[in-house]
Amino acid sequence: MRLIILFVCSFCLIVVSVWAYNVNYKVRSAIKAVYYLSSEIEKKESRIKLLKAEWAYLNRPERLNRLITIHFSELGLLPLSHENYMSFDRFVLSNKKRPGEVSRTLSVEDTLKLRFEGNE
Amino acid sequence: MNKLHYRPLPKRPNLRDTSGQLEMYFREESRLREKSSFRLILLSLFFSIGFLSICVKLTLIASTDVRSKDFSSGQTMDTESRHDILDRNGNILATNVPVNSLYAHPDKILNIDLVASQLPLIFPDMTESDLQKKLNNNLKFVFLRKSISEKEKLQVLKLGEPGLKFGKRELRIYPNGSILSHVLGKTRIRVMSTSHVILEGISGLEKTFNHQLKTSSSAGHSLELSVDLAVQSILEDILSSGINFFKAKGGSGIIMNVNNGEILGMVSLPNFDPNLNIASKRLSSNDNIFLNKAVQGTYELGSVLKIFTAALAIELGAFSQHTLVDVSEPIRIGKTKPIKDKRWLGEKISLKDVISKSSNVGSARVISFFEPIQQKEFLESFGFFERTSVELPEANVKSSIGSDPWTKYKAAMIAIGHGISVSPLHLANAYATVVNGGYRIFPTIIKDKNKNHGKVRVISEDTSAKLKEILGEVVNSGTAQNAKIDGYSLGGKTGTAEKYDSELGGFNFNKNYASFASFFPLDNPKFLVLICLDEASNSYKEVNNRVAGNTAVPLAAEIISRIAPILGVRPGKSYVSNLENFEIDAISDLFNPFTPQFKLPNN
Repeated sequence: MRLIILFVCSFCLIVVSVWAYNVNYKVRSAIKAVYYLSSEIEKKESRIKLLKAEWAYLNRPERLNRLITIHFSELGLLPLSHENYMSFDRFVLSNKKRPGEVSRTLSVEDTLKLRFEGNE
Repeated sequence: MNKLHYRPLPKRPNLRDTSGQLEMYFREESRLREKSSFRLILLSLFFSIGFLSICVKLTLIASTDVRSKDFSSGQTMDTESRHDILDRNGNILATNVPVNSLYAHPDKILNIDLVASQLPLIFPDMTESDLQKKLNNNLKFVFLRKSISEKEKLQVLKLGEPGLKFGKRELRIYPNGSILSHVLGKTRIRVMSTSHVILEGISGLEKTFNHQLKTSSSAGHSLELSVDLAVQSILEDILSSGINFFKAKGGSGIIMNVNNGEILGMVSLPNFDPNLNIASKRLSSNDNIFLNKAVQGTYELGSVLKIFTAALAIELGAFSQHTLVDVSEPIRIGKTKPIKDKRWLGEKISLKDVISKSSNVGSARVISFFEPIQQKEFLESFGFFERTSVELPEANVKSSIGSDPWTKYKAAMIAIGHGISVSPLHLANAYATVVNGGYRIFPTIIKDKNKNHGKVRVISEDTSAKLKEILGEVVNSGTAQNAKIDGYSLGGKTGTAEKYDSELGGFNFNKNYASFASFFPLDNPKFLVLICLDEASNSYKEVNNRVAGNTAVPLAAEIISRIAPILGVRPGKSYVSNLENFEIDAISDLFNPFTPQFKLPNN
């Protein structure tokens, strides 16, 4: 009986050792994968950061002002002023119909109602 | 067949044998039993330890936190990481980009002469003789450049020198150049070891939030400022153009939300590009471009302070805006120099006119009705004599009246804006209190910082309303008529102070400090614009060419007309576009300026 217990225990020990060894290697391999992924993420993040910095540099106000001046004849961009504000009731919806649009001319109130009811 | 060997038992004695033999038998049996049980304990101990160690190992593996390990390819990246600084809309104001540094191990360089001759071709500021000296100095490590571009790295690699090495690190950049330079501040590189450098804030917000910005924790901790890049850009652009136009020495500007103290724009000119390495010691104190004039410099701002005399008089109930004040002749207090107006304004004028026409005599007369201590305490309640709450290390100044005692004459001088040095930020802070309904505000450059700040009342709402009316009159019919702009109503007060000239030993009437503190909209003030110009002169005017009304005021008006639409301040009803019945196809066209049907009224 003792011999059997000894044998079973030894066997269990060997099995568990092999399993632990296996787990150990899997963990090491996972760590390597994580290391690789982390370095990849780091590279991508630093690339994104660089692109964001470049985007910010390209969109700096001084450059945009320069571009506006250069392309003024095509774009005609001007600083915002009070003239760009308009009273809402001065807008009138035209009678032109678009595909899929309701057939009758809508008043501003109707259109707003539709808009806020989510039907538009 | 093999027999199994087992432990031989002692021979069982015959019961008829002597009792001694029986005793010997039991003794032997007990000895052998003890021996085998010891072996059993040893064996079970061995197995227990085996299983235990496996369990421990498994527990250790299971509890390993992979994230806690440093997996970054270059450890220096983590230590020197620095968070971004953003404006209130998320635009990047300061960020880090990865770069390489170049260093050398001279003992590993195969051909020092070749390296010394080739590197200057890649880096023109290096010289062959310098490199020869550095590389032949028997040093094991020589730092050559703190940051090089990828292109430069490739060129160095092409040299094929094993002794030339690259270190990975980050460079702090400011994509908008000199915009907001005084607020953002600067960083410097601190070399901690051969492979480890850190970025350290040395001025501005970079210094104040050095610890918060350099923390190595994950993303999402960018510093979000209350500044609006578009507003800041307009402020800098117009002020810079104004300084050139009026041939001023410099200037400063502040745009602030009067209700919560958030600073939307702050500029001090001339400024600097924090991306460039400029040594401050080369500059004299007068031309110190690193001086933040908006928070660091204190000036005698002149008449712009007169509103606080009116505020005191109204708050204490002694005057209303219509109370008449005698301005018929100069006022003399004791044996001091008389205080007089630049022109005769009449016999008696109302308090409103005292401010709108900027009468020195009127202001001095009003303050003569009060004790100097009342004026002192009143100005103290606006925070003039304490450090402002703005998060800039340079903003550590307080207003000062010098060493003179606070006498009646001193009080009269302070009432007209002389004898007291004030920083533009202190003034902006106090004006915000005057126009926001009377609450003290605490200026901040950080977004939403004052969200839950309690309100401290300084003057009553009624006083504030009367002061707004007076300040509106300054623009309508007073010294700031050049501030009238289409679409928006605003109020404000001008100030033109003569600068003290140490060579003359007195005030120089040809050198002025012009300022204009304005707010808009007049009926419900939301934003404050303060413009200060140093020695500005309007060459288009033959008289009064140095007064704020002809220098600082038009600049402020231009700034307000440009920033008001950006800040969502709608023009007055009478100023909206006069186009009749503007036709659109759908409501959505209103929100899409690129639809063909949508044409701006201008076009």
